[in-house]
Amino acid sequence: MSRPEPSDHDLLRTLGELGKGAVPVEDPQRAFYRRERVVRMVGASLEAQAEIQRRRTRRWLWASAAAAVLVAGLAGAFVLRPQPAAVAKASAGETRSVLGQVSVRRADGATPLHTGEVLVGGEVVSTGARSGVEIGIASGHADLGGLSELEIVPPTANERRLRLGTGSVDVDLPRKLEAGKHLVVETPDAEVLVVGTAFTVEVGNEAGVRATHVSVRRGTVWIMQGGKQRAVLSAGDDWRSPVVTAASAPAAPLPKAELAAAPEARAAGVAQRSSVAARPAAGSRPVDSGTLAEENRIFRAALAARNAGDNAGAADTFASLLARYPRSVLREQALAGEFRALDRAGRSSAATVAARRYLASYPSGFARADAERVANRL
Amino acid sequence: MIEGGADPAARTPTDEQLVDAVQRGDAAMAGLVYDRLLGAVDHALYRVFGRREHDHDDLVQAAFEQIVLTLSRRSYARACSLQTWASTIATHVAFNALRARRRERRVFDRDASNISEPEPPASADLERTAGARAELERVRWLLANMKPERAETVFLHDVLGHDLAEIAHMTRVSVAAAQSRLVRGRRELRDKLTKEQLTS
Repeated sequence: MSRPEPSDHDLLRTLGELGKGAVPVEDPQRAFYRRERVVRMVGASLEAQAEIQRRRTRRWLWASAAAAVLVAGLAGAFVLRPQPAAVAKASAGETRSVLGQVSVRRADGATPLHTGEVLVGGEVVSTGARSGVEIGIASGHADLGGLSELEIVPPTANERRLRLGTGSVDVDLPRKLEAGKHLVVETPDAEVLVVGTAFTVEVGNEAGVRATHVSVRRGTVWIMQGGKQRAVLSAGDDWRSPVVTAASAPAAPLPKAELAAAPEARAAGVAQRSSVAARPAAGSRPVDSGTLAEENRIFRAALAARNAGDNAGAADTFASLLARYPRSVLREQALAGEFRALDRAGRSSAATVAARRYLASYPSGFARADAERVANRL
Repeated sequence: MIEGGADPAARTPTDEQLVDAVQRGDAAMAGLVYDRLLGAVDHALYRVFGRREHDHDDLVQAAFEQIVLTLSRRSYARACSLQTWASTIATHVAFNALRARRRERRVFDRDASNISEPEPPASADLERTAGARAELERVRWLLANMKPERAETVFLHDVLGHDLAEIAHMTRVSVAAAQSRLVRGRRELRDKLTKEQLTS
């Protein structure tokens, strides 16, 4: 016989019965032994817990110490990191030497430029007659000639740019720039792209039209016009931007060697790599454009003579340059040109002396191999 | 005679202090923890089993192991009294043991046979008493066969008298979920009782 189905009330009553009734008192002896056992277990658990906490604390302390060292390191690196402004200041340029009247024009007006002054970019440096300034840029320097105007463009991560408005600037980067980085000398009608070399850029006014002249002493430069590569110049090469009215420009008096070289250069028909004699630009240059321009003019005359086959004349012109400007930036090229020209002219003794002089000044120079050959021939 | 020292009540640590001591791993407090919570643990175990089983001491120890563990792990949210927390854990330990026994089919097989074949009562009162005891044993057995969370919720609410909010805190569910467990648990228990009565 089955019992009736339990109602909710019955169920709750039954469940309530489970919770009713007194819990009998335990045997004291049994309770005592159990207490001893459980308390010992609880104590051991708590000690184990304390040990775990001590380990955690040690780990936390070590982790905290490591984190503190890390944070301190990061903070130190952050504090000692190269400041962007400082980088910009250092890389934009600094004035190394000032000769004559040199001024710098900033947003707040023009002021005289002094040695040691930092150029952060955006300044325009102007030189007067018989003046010049050496500006440290990147790994080298730029020498601004007299009656010149050069804008220092704020540098970017990959580019340093000098904007030559007029006059001349001689750039020497002894070390090649890092991959992807370059220096640009910008003129009104061309851009000279450099990665490590020595060259001179001039902006002249020929028959009312500004023209650019680039002369490379070492390394390679690219000539860009309108964003396109117009020429690649190597050591010893010259380049002039084409000037339509150049033919009508009056010729200036030139050294004998320079004059002699002119027809040869024209005959060579080198459109992008013409010598100075191929274009009488010197005549349109200011009479006194500073030492650098004069040095360049004599140097170009020597090259023209050499190119014309007048080795003796070239040697004399190089010697003349070295005599007049013994500390010229073109000294190395002039010394090399001199001993080579003397050698080709058959003046062996003089060539040997000149080669030894070159080696004494530039034991690791670009013409060392030639100089050693000539110097050791006797 | 005037006794020195502080008020005895002041010397007895509060639940908070006791929990902090456990969490610090203060082994000196082990005795106090035991004395404070033994009543709740023993009571819960007794209510689940209806007696002190032969392994009662082991279950007490297991319950205390769980209590210390949960307090150390900061599972106790301090939303109910420490005794209530201990009672819940002891109930959980007891039901686990009940289910283990059911699986082993030892205790309850024997108990079930006792239930189905009770000894003849000597008198009407004794018969009623024996019948009631058998009914309670049957309910315990059926609770052990239910889903654990439902059985424990029904037990905590309807046997030990905890309210739903407290159960929800202790079992880490919402009050609605605790209520659902309670309703479903009661229904399941009633269905099982009905089914068991129909087959007996």
